[in-house]
Amino acid sequence: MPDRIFEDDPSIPGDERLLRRIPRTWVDWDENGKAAISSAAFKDEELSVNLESVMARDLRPPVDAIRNYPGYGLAAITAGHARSMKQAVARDPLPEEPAHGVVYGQKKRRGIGGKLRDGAIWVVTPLQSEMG
Amino acid sequence: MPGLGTAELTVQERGILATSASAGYLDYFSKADRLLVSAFHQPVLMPRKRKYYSLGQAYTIEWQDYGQPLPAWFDALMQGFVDLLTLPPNWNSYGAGVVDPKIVHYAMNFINGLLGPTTPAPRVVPLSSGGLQLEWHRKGINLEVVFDRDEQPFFSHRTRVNEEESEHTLPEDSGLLRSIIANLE
Repeated sequence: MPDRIFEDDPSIPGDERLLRRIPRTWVDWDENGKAAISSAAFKDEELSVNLESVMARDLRPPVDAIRNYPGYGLAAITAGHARSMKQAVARDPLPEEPAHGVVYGQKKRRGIGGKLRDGAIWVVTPLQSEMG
Repeated sequence: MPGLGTAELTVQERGILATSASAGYLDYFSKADRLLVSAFHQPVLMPRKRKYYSLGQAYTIEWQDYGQPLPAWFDALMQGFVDLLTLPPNWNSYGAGVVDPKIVHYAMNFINGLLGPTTPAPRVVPLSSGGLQLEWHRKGINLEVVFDRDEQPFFSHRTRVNEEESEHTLPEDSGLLRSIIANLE
């Protein structure tokens, strides 16, 4: 169980993009090479993300979120989509990642992880042949 | 192996991870199947093993059976489990712990009893919490079987026709899971 509880931050607009690193073990490639994300990527009760607007404020492009993670993909959901799944969206800046945020709430049951995944788009698609 | 036909495999609980790099489990034909075979044609159990590699580590899966062909899903599923066992701490970059070998053991034994000889292999996917889920996404069926720490196993099921997801606990609803898996073939 997470140690902390996060309240929704209304200063984060619904169209804010929340960026999530996706390791290869959470990706399945079909016969056409199309990458699909597992719902497992969106099941953490305290789900870490990067707030794109905070990165932009610091003149960091989204891809900066995976700069030190070769082989990873980068996916995005919107804060509005997360809230529609009864999730709280909060800022949680860390010394090493000022843009860090959290999507907080139960996700394992009632298909919430899968529905969050269904609303995700690739910002950076991982390559099937790349070693992660 | 006269008279065995399409015998169903069941798995006996057996410690598969006696060491960090070895695994073994034992399976038998069901009692009913054995009764179909006369005493003169009683098949003989034989030890078998296969080796799987992941991130420079070798895992040997050992079991006993009657020498029948391995099911289509066997190698892919075992490789999937072994790949989970070699994930390092922080494998998701967000502080995930290693996958619990006891959960891998339980899942391996549980699902082996539900798959038919030609069942398509599921994807074996780690959870940040140290558990795992098995996934099938085919023929309009989305099926996920979740094994997690401190939680009763369950499966979720969604079809293209019925977009609503249903959840069922295990092992209580194993019969339903078996029938859904049969529809994946």
